[in-house]
Amino acid sequence: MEMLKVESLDSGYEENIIIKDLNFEADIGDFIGIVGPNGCGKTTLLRSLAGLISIINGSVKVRGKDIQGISRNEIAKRIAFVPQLMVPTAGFTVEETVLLGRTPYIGRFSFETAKDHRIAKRAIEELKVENIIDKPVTNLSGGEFQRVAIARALAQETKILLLDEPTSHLDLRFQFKILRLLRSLREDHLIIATFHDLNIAARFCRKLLLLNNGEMIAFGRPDNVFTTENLRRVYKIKLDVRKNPKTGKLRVFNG
Amino acid sequence: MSKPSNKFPLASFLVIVIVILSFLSLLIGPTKLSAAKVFSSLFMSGDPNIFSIIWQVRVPRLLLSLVYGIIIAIAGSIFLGIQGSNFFDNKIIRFYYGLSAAITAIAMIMITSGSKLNISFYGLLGSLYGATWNKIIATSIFAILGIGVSILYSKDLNALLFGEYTAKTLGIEVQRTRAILFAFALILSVALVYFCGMLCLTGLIIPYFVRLIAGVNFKYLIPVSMLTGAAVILFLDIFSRIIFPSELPIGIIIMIVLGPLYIYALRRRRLGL
Repeated sequence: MEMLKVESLDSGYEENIIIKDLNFEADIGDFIGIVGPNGCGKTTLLRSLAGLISIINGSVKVRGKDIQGISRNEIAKRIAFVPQLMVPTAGFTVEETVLLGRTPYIGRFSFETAKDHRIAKRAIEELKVENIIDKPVTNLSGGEFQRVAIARALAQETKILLLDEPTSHLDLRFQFKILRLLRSLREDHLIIATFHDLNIAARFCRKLLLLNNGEMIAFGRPDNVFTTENLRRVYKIKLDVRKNPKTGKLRVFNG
Repeated sequence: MSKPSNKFPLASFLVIVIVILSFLSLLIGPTKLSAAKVFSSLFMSGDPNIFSIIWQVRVPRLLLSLVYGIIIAIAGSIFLGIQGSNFFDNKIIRFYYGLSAAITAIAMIMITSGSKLNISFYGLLGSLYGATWNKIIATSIFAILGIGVSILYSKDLNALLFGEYTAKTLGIEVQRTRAILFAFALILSVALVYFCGMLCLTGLIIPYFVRLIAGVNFKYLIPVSMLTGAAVILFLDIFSRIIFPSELPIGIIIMIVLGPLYIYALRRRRLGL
């Protein structure tokens, strides 16, 4: 059974429908980039997948199970979410912040076990932040904190990782670091992230989901999604797409 | 879990302060008693009069101060956790502090003009005078409940700190958790007003300042606030008894000392610090 199946999804805030009749399926090993112009519903779609906002029609199913029918705690064991602006909180160290990812597994009447600490440690190592493990999160650079936020999501041990603009607010070097890391996590996760930058999305994602006004324009491999025709329809300006003959990667130009 | 060493010195310092203040508290009172007499009656019955002063008046008063400090710190921490520093900028809370300031001013005028405060006014202001064992048992039940709930919910309070969306994706039923915690902190507050008087809620501001030193991780903030609350209230009680042997209600002292801190907290928030 597919990891994630979205069927005729309408969602939004209260009566304000933003995402309209959206359908797609995704599986472990996919790294999907959600792209589209400002206000097209990228973040709303991601939040709907995370169960954060109300699904008005249709369904989001994780391994066949509709997330509307299970508790928030059960969702938290299946889907982790890294918001665009997770605010570092004074008084928390890197380790304590990552350990927060174990919250869904710790019962009301129990405390973190050695296992929880081990899993948090592993996430910390995977994100290569072990050198700052005891640092207060308020003293980290943007790139460091973003890695800590992702480690927190990894500690949740979910198969699905959702990230809202994981590379915004980061300088180029850190953007590439985070993206390479996400690409390496793809093997045993389904990763879905929103991106503002088309070139970055085309370069690192295996699949793209192009949104416009809450509707899916195209979904699939970057070459099939970023056609001159699709981009003109969405961005209302002429954009040229060229493929680098050596790497096979796409580049989008304003031409 | 990591670096408990950071919080340990602060906690042990507070414990030492509380122990010292406790001894001091037992030494002060209208009947002049030497330290030797106080301690001998504390552990073995000597003079029955002294014994009853110690065990029926001074010890209950000491314990009530401590329990009061603990409860106010738990309630304040929970309010801080579910509403952030917004809590102190809330209309009702602003009104409460304003009203408390007005009552304090009236009481101060009455005291300085020589008129005696009557006993019902005392109750309204908040006084630890007349602490009884029954009162201590009753308030202790609330304190124990408070400690229990704050342990059970410290994980939720921590998740809530990272924002509503993050808390939800960590599996917290945000609305329900907020409602439960709010109701609980409210019960603690009402109990305090009932047992210690109306002005005593001004102490809710204590965790706000503890947070600036100990950080907001509720696993540490609540215990450290409890110790701080106990120490502060005990200190203010002793202070008021030394300065005004004729029993100035603790509520007034708390308001005089913590009121300006409240204004500072509000200003600090407005300035976005």
